[in-house]
Formats: sequence, structure tokens, C-alpha cells
Amino acid sequence: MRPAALPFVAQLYAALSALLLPAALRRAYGASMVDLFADLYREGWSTRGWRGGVRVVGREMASLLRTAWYERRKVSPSRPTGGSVDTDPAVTRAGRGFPDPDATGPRRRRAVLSGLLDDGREAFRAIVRNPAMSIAVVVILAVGIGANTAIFSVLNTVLLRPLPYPDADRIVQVLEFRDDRPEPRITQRVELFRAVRERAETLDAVSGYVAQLMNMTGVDEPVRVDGWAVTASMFPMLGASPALGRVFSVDEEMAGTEPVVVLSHALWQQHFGGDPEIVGRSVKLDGTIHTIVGVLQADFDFLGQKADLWTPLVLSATRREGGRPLRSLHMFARLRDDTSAASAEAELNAGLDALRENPLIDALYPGRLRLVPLKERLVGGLRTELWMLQGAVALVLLIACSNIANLLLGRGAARRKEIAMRTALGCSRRRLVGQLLIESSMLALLAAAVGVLLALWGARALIELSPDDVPRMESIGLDPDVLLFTVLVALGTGLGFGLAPALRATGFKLQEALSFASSTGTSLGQRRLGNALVVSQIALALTLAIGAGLVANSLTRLLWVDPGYDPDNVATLQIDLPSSRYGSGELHAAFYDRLLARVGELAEVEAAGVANTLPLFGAYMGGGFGIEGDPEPLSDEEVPMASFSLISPGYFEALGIPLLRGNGLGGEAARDRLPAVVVNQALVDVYFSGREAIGRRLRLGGDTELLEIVGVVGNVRRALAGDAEPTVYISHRRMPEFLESKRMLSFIFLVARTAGDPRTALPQIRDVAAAIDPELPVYDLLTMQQRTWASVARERFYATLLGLFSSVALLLVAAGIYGVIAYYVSQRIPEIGVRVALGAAPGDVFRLVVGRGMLLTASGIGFGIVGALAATRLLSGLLFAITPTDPATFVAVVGLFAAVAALALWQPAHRAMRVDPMVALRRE
Amino acid sequence: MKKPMPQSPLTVPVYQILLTLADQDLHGYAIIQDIRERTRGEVDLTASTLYAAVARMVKAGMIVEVEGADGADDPRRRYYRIKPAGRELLEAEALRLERSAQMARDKNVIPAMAATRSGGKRS
Repeated sequence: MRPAALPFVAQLYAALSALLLPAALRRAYGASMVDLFADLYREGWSTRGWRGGVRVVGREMASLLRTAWYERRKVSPSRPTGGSVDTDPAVTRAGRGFPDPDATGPRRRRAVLSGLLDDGREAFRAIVRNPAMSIAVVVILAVGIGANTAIFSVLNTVLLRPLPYPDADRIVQVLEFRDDRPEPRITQRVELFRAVRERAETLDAVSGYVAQLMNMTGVDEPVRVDGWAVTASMFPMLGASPALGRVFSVDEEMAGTEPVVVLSHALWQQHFGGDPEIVGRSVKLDGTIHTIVGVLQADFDFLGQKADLWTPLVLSATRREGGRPLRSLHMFARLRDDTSAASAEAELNAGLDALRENPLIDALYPGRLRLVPLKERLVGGLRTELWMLQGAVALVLLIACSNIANLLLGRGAARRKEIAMRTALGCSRRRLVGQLLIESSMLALLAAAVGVLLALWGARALIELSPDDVPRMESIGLDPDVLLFTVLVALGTGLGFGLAPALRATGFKLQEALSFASSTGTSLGQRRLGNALVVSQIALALTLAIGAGLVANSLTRLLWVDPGYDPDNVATLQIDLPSSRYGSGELHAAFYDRLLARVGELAEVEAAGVANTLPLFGAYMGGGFGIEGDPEPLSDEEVPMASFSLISPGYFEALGIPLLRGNGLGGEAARDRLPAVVVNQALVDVYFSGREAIGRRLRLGGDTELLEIVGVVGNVRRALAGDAEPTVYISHRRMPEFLESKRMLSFIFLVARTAGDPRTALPQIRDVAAAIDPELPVYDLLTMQQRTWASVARERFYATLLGLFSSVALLLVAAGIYGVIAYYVSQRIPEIGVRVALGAAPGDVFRLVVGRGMLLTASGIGFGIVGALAATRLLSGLLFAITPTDPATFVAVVGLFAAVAALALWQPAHRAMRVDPMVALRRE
Repeated sequence: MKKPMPQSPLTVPVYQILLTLADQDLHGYAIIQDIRERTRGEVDLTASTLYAAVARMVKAGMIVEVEGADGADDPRRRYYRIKPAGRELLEAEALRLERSAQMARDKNVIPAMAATRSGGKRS
């Protein structure tokens, strides 16, 4: 994204200088100035990145305004200038009293300030003369600018600011892309990692990590921590330095060394009280004692992920004691300074060809390795959505500008005499336009000041609202970049809403204006401009509102989806059973039995069950299976696939999943028939094509044991937006064996249906678990409704924001329509009087006014629909069960707009109907 | 063109531009860079101040636009050369500053180490 912005900024500079500079200077040096600006801008970018660029733009724009202002005063006819060098104040300081833009230091500042104050006072007086109007303008703009600032603060933090790592743009992730798959393979085999680390010459600091959720004990209470096993090269690559102690050495990557751990600053503060003597102490992780060797700095961000602690990644052997061998890992590297990503990629793939002699690699890597910039990986997916939000708020601001331009157009007519007078006294049009623009810029800056306060509040609300998948959200704030953006937006806004009215107000035949001093003098051109502004407002707002309508509609559909279970009155929590202490199947079974029995005794609980997964949880385990009696599949693709859920008998009742046929897994009878399973309807539909499934027998994965299907239950959606997958429900008594064969992770969920509010039952259930084993971490105490709500966080975020923006836009539009039509009526009173006097009925007058308003509305809606058809495609990633051109949404939003327009027309139409012909004619 | 009065102080940009062009013909960007370097960033002109000053200096006959030197990096760029009038003005200003500094030294306002400290900030 480096100087991609260059043409635009340079064009802006060119446009401003064309507008502001005196003709002579512009003709002789305008082009050179723009070139020079571009050079300085590039220099700013290359030395200080995005900040440097912004700094140059701000400085140059401000200086351009100063220069233009000074140069214009110098040549204005009211102030004589000497042609000779002696008296030219720019060359010498002989001509005191003139502000001198070339001077530096306090002297120049004073001079410029006094000059600005002159024009400012003038503008200020004009603003104060009409307080109601000025307040309206400031309020409308403050909302628009505030919203833009708030969204930009997010965009800036997430997308634009460089990542907080040294040479962050040289850090890449190694991914494998295959032609036949849209998504790349994210983790790479250890064999590949080793080979790349040894051979790749264009890559420095090849490093990797694997996630390892761990239980930490030996502190005040057992905690579940987000641990990461990282190679020693990871910390230097990310520029992480320890606040205490040290990070890992390369030796610690070897198997058999003493286990060590580095803590995050937050964990150190939270669970070790920030103990400065922490280094050298030890802590138990999944039952193994680890020595704490260091604590990282507070501001370290581990690739946007929640991280509590790190252990060395041992490549050669087992992942951790009792764990399975490490097979693959997330792989990162830093490009060497003298290589590009493309050439490093070419080298890597050439090397890969050589590596394919290793049969393992050959089989696993049919695709190409790609080096994807870290930033792309972390925030690339959010780019469209965040820019869409920025576009939406920009639309709101545009509507606000157009709205205010319309207000000012009306006022321009009122100020016509004042302006004509000044023109007659020798004020040039350029000068007048300039002063009107200073006036509108002052209003805009005032609004920006209010808007920044709104944005401060708004940014906080955004953080509250934001889904978890937006990284670095917590570091969002109003930094200088954002403030500079706001000021630039405000100045642009001042120009945006001020320019058309200013040109319009000053562009008339002098004599005409002075002689024809009637109060009804609005030109045809002015009305046309006003109409065009209203039409454009309606069109923009409609585009926005249709977008919001689609997202809201989609969210409603999502929340109304039947998930297949009853989420009301269900309490859930997660418990970890570390293999170090729950190594055997008997221990597991004993724990479940005690837990379920004790939880079942709680008065609040109606039914309870344990399971290895939960709807909406996100992680599922499954695999292939075979059906007894069916022919052996010919290829891998034809192997039947299903999710495997391990559940206790109460699970179906607790979640309210209906048993459609046969039996559940419970009851005394089940104990005798251990090899029994229940399947869901989706599995029957897909693999039994409607034939009777009960009584048939399945073989899971490579097992030899046959399991009999004893019942069929209803389908459950894994995610609200997803479909039900074929699922096999297996008795929880088999959990230990699934754990051993690594087909299940070491945590379980407890679900309980409660009589009353599940939130009151949750702490009781936790206490029961703690009473059985106080060392077990119990976490994520949530009701099923809370899980549902959390699962649509992203959709809610965008629906709320777009809804808010389009409501503001709709309000502005209503005000715009009202303003234009009310003004139209007030200008037309004599004409209406004549019509009424000539026999027009009130109904005719009503039709005239409403017809006019509706014509504007209809044109706006027409353009808006075209705009929406073009723009809503951007939303397709956010929509569920609805197309971006959903006719129902379009019709509903258009209907809403028509209704709002009708409401806005009501008062002016009534006023027109009450016109008394005598009064009206007398006014003429 | 009337000869400028040597007593009149020059503005900072005009003085610095003349100083930069005293021994070389340069284009706008290079002038800005040279000034920034010599003054350690204390004087950092913008595009508009530079060209506003250049416009006046050309008009006053202090400098003149010339063809770029051989091997000039960019034909689009406009090079400027100091004219005798400009040099005279620069000399007069430098001498005036020198005299001013001497007066300050005589009154012990600044230390009397004229040879090494030439008036600019060292920090």
C-alpha cells in the first residue's frame, strides 16, 4: 500500500492549489509545486512510512493555505503592492504590517494569526448572526465526522498501522496452495519445516509454533491457559524482549532438556502478583513441572492471538510428556533484506522439488508453497468489511454535506443583498467565495471538535461490540493520525458543503441582484441544484439502508433458524481432565459418574449430561465409518464420513434434542449393550437413503468392533449458518479409549437443563465440580443462549453499525425532503394564491406539492436502487440465506423511504392547502 | 532592475535559497533537501513556500531558471542559478549578519569564539 495513495493526494494538492493560488503564480509554478509535493510525499513515505506521508500532506496543505492566503492579499486591489524589490515585502521586510509567509518563528505566526483572525472574525459574525442554522449544521456534521473518525480509528489500527514487529513487512507465513482447493494448508509438516530451515538461503529466522491449551496448577487456583510452543527463533523474529529473565535458547529445542516456560506480562500480573523474583520459580503445566525463565514485555502481541505462556517447541520428539509426537506446525520466516517475496518463493518451490525425493513430502505437498505477508494473514480477511464500513460512514457524511449545502443554498438567497453590496464595493468573486468557504470550514472544524468527542465515545462502543476476530481492537484510540484524518475530513467537508452554495451565492449578474430586490428571488438554477441535492441524498441513503436491511434481515433469519435443540434454560460449562491425573479410563468414568450424580441432585437441574463437544462450539471431531453389509468403498472419497459425539444419556434431554425413533443411550438396558450408538436423521438420509437404520451396525474408522444403531435423533446445526452434519452419538463410557487413540481432546462439556434461570445454576454446578476435584479448571460458564448470541457477534456488529448509519441517513434525508419542499411552498405562496383564486380545489394544491415531493423521492429511489444493486455485492460474505439482491428487502426499504418522504411532505402540503388567496396576492 | 538595499534583512527562505544556490545550480526538491541538511532540519521549506519565494526571486532578478546540467536526473525538473544581483544581496546579508553577531559578541551576549561558531545552533 505504499505510494498507492500518491496520485490521489497529489491530485488533491493540485486541485487545491488551482483553486486557491493567484493565477500568475499558479500558471508559472503550479505544476512544479505539485511535482515537488509528490517528491516530498514520497520521501515522507519512504523514511517514516504512513505517518511520514500523512505528516507531509498535513504540513504541505496547511502551508499551501497560508501561501495562497498571503499571495492573494498581496495582489488584491484593496492593498497596493510595490513592484520593485525595495518595497516588495516578500523580498525585504521593508513593508511592515504585512504578514509574511516566508518568515519563520513567532513573528510569522503572529502576522498570519492576525490576518486569519480578520477573516475569522468576519466568518464568526456570520455564524453567530444565524445561530439556529449554525447549531443545526454543527450537530449534523458532528455526527457525520464523529462516525467517520470512529470507524477510521478502527481501520487505522487494524489495517493501516504497521504491525508491532521489527521489519514487519518482511515477515511471511509459509502456506501451501493447491489448485483444487480454495483454502491453503495452514500448518506444515515438521519434515518440511526442518528442510526449509536448513536449506532456504533467502529466508532468515525460520520459526514456528503450535497451540497447546494447558492446565496450570500450583498457583492460587487451577487455570486453563493458552500456551504456545514456539521455536527459539520466534521471539527474536517478533522483536519480543523479556521484561524479566530471558527467552528461549536454541538448546532448549532439544528433547530431554529441563522443561522451561516464559510467561506473558498479563499472566504474571494476574496469577503471580507481578512478583519480581518470579524467574527461577516453577509452575505445573498439565502436571509437569516447568521452570519459569522469563516474563515478556506488557505490549508484546503474539500474532493477534491470546497468549498466556510459551514453552520451547521440541521438534525432535514428543510434543509434551504423554502427548503425541509433533507432526505439523504453523511456519513463519523473515525474508532476507536483499530478497523479494517472489524470488524467495521461487527458491523455496525449487527446493521443494528436490525435497520430493522424500516420499513423505512428495505425498503431502502436491501444491505450491507461497509466502504470504504476515499482515495479509492477520487482517487480510477484514479488509473488505472494514472498508465497507468506512464507505458507509463516508456516505453518511456525504448525505450530511448535501443536506447542509441545501440549507446554505436557502441562506445564500437571503444573503444575496449583502453579497451584492460587497461586490459593488469592489470585492472580487474569488475573494467572496474564499470568505464563504472560510465560514463553512469554521463550521466544519467546530463540528469536528464535537465529532471527536462523539468518536471517543463511539470507539469505546465499537470495542464493546466488536467480534473477537478483529485483531488489535483493544489498542484502538485517537492518535495523531486519526486526529489529522479528522481535520482533513472536516476541511474537505467544509469545502464539500460550502463550495456549491458559495459559487451559487456569488454567481449572478450584479445589476440584476441590486435592482430586483424582491424577497422571492430564487433562480431556476438554484432550485435545480437544490433538487439535485435532495435526489442524491435519497439515492445515497437508500443504498446504505438497503445494505443495512440485508444484513439485518440476514441476522434475523440466522437467529430464527431452528438449531435442532432448545437453547432456553440450558447451562453449560467446560472442564479439563489433564491426562497426567486422569490417565486411565476408570478415573474418567468415575469422575463423570460422580459429577453427573451430584449435579443431578441440584434442585435447579432437571437433566444433565456430559459430551466432548457442543453445538456452536466450533471444534468437531469425526472420521470415516463403514456400514455392515454395504459394499466396501472403492476410493477414499466414497468412505462415509460423520462427526463422532461422545455423550452421556442425559445429553439429549438437557439440550432438548428430540429422539425420533428407537431408544437413547440411557437406561439400565444400555449397560448390557455397550456397543450401541444413536445417529441423527442427516446420517440416515445421506447413508441409508431413507431405509431403516435401527438395528444396522457401524464400524468407526479403522475399528473392528461393530456398533449397533439403537435410535435416531433430530438434526442439530453445528453453527447457526451451517447445516446439520451426519453424526454418530457414542456413549461417553468410551471417552477414555477415544482419548487414548487421540480421537478426542482432554476437555468435556457439562450441559444442564434448569428449572429457572440457568445463570443462577451455573455457580452451583461449578461448586459441585470443585468439590469433587478442586484442582480441575472449570471455565466458560455460559448459558446456551449466551453461546448463541456470541456465535452471531460478527453479524450483530455489522447489522448494528449499518443500521445506525442508515437511521442517521434516513433522518437527514427526511429533513432534506422537508426542507426543500417547505422552501418550495414558501416560494410558491403567491402562485398557489392565484391558483386558488382561479378555482383550484385544496386537493389540487395538495397534489401539486405532494406530487412534486414524490417526484423527487421517486427519482432518488430510482438512482438508489441502481446504486444498491452495484454496492450490496460487497456484503455477500456477511449474508446468510439471502442474496445481495433480495427483492423483499429492496421492497421493504423502498416502502420505508416512501413512507418517510410522505411524512416529511405532510406539513408543507397542509400549509399550501391553507393558503388564503387574498393574503397571498397581497404579498406580491 | 534596481539594486537592492543592502541594509534590508532577507527573509529566512530567500536567504537560505540564495545560500544553497551560491555554489551550484539545483532544482526545487534538491534545494529543500540542501537547506534541510545544512540547517539540520531547522529550516524545512514546503513546496508552496519554496515556489512562492522562487517566483519573487526570479521576478526580482536574484535568480534565473537554467537548463539542467548534463546527466540531470529528470528533464521535468526546473533548475535555478544565482544571478550577480542575488549574489550581491546574499553577500550583503551575510555581512550584515556577521556584523550583528559581532555586536552581540562585543556586548558578551554570545561567547567570543567567532572562528568556530558561526551562529547556527549545534544541537
